[in-house]
Amino acid sequence: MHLKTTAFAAPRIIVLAFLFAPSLTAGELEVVFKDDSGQPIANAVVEVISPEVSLPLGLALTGMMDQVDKEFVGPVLLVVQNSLVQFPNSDDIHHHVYSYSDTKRFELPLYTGNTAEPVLFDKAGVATIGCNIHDWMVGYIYISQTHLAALSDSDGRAVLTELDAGEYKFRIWHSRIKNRDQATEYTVIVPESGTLQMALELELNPDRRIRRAPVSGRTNY
Amino acid sequence: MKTLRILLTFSTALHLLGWCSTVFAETGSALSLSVSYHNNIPNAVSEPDIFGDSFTDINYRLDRFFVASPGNRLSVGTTLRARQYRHSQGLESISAGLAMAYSHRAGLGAYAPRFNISFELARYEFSEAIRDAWLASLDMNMSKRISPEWLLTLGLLFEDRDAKTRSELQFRPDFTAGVFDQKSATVSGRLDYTLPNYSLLSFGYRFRDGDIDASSRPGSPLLRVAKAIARDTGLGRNYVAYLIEARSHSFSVDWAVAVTDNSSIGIGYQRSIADAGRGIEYDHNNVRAEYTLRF
Repeated sequence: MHLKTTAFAAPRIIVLAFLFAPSLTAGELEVVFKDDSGQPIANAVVEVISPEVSLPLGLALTGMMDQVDKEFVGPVLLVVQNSLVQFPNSDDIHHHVYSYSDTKRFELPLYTGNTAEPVLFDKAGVATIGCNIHDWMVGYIYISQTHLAALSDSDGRAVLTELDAGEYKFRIWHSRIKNRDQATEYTVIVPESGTLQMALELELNPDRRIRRAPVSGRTNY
Repeated sequence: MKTLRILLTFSTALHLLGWCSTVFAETGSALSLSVSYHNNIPNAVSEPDIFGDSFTDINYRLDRFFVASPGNRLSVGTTLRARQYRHSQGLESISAGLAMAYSHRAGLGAYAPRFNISFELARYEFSEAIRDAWLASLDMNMSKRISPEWLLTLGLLFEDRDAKTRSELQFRPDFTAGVFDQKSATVSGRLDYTLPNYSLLSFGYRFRDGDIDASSRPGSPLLRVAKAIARDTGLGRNYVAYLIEARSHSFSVDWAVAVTDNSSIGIGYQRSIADAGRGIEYDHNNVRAEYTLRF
């Protein structure tokens, strides 16, 4: 077993299991996120932070976060640092997209369709996105330093492919992870061939978004 | 009924115009159905004049929102209301109104304070015409979100109810019969708390200062503070309606559970205590169950 786990200030994150499954595809890391009731966690990010690798030539530094039915689609978008992100509005009403996160401050006031200029995310980190008209809309842009990053799907599965053999340090992120101010980092040894699988159980904060459902006598705006 | 029909026609035309507009206006409409019980329908001060009844309300509101500039929004809307009592005869009502509102957010994001001012003119018609009236209301409020869970709202409401004085219902020659011409001002505060399951707890307080009608059988101590008196053909039972000036404190708690993103069910309780001076006090309690659908 070639796995070392280091959890910084995150004692509630438990490595449940790790397996080395021989495969013809060399150098994959698969992380499966589950909550404390065993349900898969989507929209969790795995990002390699060591060793530093250069971006592949021709990598498209772009991203898109759509708005449909007064919600950000995703609602998590993973992009590489220095990506240009578009925020099309597929609703037939105005949206007013903004972020005042330290990672990226911007404002796209009152637009429809695909008329907003793309936004450059030139600093690694997380930007929380909102709509100044519809307060319940919230989205997250995770800006990774490297292309070696993956977002978990509805099965809670995040897969990093084409990893050279060796020691990797990676961090994980989720918008509702407890103790979110402190990075949670792990070190693993990726074998020359096969898929290294990890299962991580995360303890999440309750989903405390601004309520969208109507209340009698109020306009919800 | 003629004025109500005119108002309905006008509001329908207004909305058709709004829908045809090429401006990217947003439509918000909500239908709510509620069943309530009020334990002192006539606002009487003592037994045996006090009685309670349950009633059903259907409210519909349609608004068109026009975002004028970042943080500023204008809306025009229509309100339709209907109330049916279970036992009481003469108090059933329908109403139609036109509303305009302007909203300004001082800053960017959900935590910036929002200032709203709205005006509504509504026509109320009852099964017994004594209470038929125009109601003009000016509502100003400020809301500030403290966190995703907590929202504080402070408000000021002025109401002017204009009813036709029906001299044929005059009860005493030394008083006019204009019981339902009323003016009032209300200060309110509300604190909303969203639970993890998106149900909403609301705690409210209102202080109302102004005219109110209270009905009792002849000989009521309400006479000591009455500004106008008329035979109450709406309540019947030989009741007499008194116009009094009172200061009331109301406390409310509501719980609204989100069924979907666009619907909720809720229950609410409100207790009001009113003081009209010279020892005249009355109180009432109101419980309500409600379903709201936004579409």
